[in-house]
Amino acid sequence: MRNTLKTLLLAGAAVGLVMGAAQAGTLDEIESRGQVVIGVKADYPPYGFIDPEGEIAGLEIDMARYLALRLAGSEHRLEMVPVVAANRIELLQQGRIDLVLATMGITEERARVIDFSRPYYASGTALLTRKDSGVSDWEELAGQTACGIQGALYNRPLEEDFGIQMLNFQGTAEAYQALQDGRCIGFAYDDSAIMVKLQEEGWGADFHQPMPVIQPVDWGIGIRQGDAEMKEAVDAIIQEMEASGFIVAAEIKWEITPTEVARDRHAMAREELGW
Amino acid sequence: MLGLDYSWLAVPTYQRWLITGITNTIWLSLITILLSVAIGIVGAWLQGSRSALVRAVVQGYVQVFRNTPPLVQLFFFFFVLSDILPRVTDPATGMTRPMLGSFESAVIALSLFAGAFNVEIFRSGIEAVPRTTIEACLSLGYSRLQQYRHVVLPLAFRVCLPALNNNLINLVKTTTLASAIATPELLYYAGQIYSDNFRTMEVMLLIWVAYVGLVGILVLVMHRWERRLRVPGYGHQG
Repeated sequence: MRNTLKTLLLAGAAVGLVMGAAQAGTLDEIESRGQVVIGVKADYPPYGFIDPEGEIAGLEIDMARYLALRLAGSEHRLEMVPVVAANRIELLQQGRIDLVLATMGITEERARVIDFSRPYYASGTALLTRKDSGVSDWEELAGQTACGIQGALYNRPLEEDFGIQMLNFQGTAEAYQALQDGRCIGFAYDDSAIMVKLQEEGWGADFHQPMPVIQPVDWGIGIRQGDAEMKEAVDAIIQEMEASGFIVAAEIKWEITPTEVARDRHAMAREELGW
Repeated sequence: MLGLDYSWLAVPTYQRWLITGITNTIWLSLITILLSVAIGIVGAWLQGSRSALVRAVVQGYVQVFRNTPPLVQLFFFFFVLSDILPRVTDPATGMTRPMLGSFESAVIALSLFAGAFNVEIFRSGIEAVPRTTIEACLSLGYSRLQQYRHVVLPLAFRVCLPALNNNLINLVKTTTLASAIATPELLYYAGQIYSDNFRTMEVMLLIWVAYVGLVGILVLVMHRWERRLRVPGYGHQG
């Protein structure tokens, strides 16, 4: 027992050492490798998803290409690694990816372990529910069951602030299925994803999003902690994308209802650059 | 030591989650243990039935549930079977919902899964009962059920207890799979807590200790039972 414990502690310490090891500047690494490695979503249409041809595509993927163009000199010098909420921060810390560009909300807890670029987008929590469910405000959901995603940021506040009983699944497919089966009154999820789901055949007719969007959170690109050079470079590229209207245009390209946040950030970046 | 930080244990929501999680894990374990043992006892008895049809049904059940992954069975009961079963009206919303919730689906799936193994475990015990003992029953005029209840099963039980222990321990650990269909058991809430506070190592160590404890209690109870059931000269040395 004692030995097992010792081994376990040693293993833990080793992991800690590897994770804590100072990384050489990510910019230098990208240069010597000739390639940027970016963690992206592959299950979040239309921001990052697998298109009918089997390729990863989406709004954030366009952004990843733009980053590769600026950081490595070509859109093609890009390796995309599909990540999920539960592993993206660890992959970045371990140095397996250079950046996380994966619909990641900037939170205090996350900012303690990684750095974030300036925000480039934002989303809030909304509710996908049947049109005849009769709910229009979060307060009405007290004591009711809502479907959700395991590990999502909003699960705790939804339970704490509104007394909602969460029924959380590992993936969105199970949650959408459970909602259709009537296991929950609605599916609490990012408004950006719900808006797109409602454009899908079969969903727009029976479902809607009647709630005020709550818990707005800015999305940022994850950067390894303490790499100020990298953060500076990434921030400048985001600013350029915003000011040039790249993100506003990408929303139109991917048939996302134009968002206020993209428009506001476009105007803000132009002002910052004096365009 | 490693800078383990357990201050999050003071957060009331996390406390409630952990308590709910461990309570549900214990309930899920207890109910599925009892149901799966019952399935094993009845199934093993039916395996010795004179009707070829009954034997075939039991055999079919064992093959299907023993040879498919428990996670697939959970998804089957939660998503597929609920489509076939009638729906019930939820008084809270006035809308209809599937009859089987996630907890009920997990109970059924895990009981049937472990029950299939238990049938085979009990069969191994039954087959170890000497032929001469059964002949003695017959000569005393026991019916098949009496013979099973009073002679065969008590002896078989003692023989197969170690194998049964193994399967029940596995069952307790398999309850973690129920988190995939949103049964709010211990692992379900553990994942929620560490994706909230990034204390992955601390949460995992806690969960690890919790399962070692739970399984430890089960092992203790089963071993005591095994010792109490011991018949001198039968199934063990000395």
